[in-house]
Amino acid sequence: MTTKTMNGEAHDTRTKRPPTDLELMMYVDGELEGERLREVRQALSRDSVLRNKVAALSLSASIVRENAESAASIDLTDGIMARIAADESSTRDARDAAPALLEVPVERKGADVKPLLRPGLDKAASKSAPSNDNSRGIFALAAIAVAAAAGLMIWGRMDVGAPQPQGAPVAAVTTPAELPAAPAPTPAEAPRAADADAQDGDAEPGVAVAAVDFGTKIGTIFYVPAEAATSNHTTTVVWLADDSAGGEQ
Amino acid sequence: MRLPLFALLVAAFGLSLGHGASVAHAEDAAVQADASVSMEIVVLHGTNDGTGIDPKIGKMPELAKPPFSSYNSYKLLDRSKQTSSKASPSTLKLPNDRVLKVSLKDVVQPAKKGDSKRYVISASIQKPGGSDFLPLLEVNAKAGETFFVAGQNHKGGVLVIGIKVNP
Repeated sequence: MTTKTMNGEAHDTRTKRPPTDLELMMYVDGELEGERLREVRQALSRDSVLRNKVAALSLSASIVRENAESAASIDLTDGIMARIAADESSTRDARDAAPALLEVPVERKGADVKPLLRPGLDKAASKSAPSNDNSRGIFALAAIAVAAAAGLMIWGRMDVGAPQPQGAPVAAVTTPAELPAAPAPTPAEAPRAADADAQDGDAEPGVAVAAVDFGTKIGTIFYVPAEAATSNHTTTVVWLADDSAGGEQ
Repeated sequence: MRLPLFALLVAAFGLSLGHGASVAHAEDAAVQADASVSMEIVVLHGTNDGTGIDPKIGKMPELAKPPFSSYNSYKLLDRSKQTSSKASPSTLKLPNDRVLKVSLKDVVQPAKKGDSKRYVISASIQKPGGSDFLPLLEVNAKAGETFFVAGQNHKGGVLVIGIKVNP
């Protein structure tokens, strides 16, 4: 690429542009050609930094090529087939065994099959199961099926839990002091009433109020402590007086 | 080999589903069978006339505790056994001419083995004119447990209604 300045002097812009890293990689891979190849060579001859870069790129490229070639040379198919033939386990059925007996009868007798993988890959290969070993999948499927069945059974039993009425009115629960018509507890009884309220969370009530509608009045729900009840549970008392509120009689 | 095993797993899964469905069906049937329940209803009159607790009431230690302890005397006015179901609620005329209506709404099977089933009971009290004194009270009660509805004025005292689901 050439450009012309204002005075008409021809000027090549590429000669001033140093080769990029990509161009250096292409140079190392032999993919650079033509005029740019010549320019890069000239730049390399002038610049020692570029030469060092090219050397490093050449080294890394050679390492990558070696590993790629060695990985491609691993014959997994033969190794797998040899392990299949040597597998004497009971998980194999007659259909699996038949071709193996026909094809590699000698290998079945000689159980010592050497792996064909490189030493560095032996550990990983030893951990992997044979390709036709579906026992893990079967166990996983069985576990999933059992877990799903158990979950459905539990869910089915939980489904018959206490139903909550839809749109039920909210209970208007007040403290005894707020209930004018309710008998006012004596000073000695007031703390005991408070104790009864405090024990709401301690003892399970034998009777739980699911919904209550006091209408225009104000009612109170008491939970009498368990020790005062004939049963082992707290006793539920709904107190609603005639003249508690609203003035209805 | 894979196909039979897969079929076996599917069959086992189906059996478990069928078992769950049969269990649910059996529980539904039990709910239908228990759709009627016997209840004992006691009506007490609480006053402060100093006569003490009527021996006919029997053992009821709750009366010595708040809020019942605000009255020092309790007299048994009525004790009756009622049978209630979803279809036919039981009614009881109270001494103040109001009507107590009690109905069984549902029977809840125990969530855990060893627990007893619970009964969803609905109660309401209507005035003679038809208006509601207590429009709705819905409780979830175990058999043998008593709950009380109290506070109505009656002859200088209060009425205390105890409702117990018989086992």
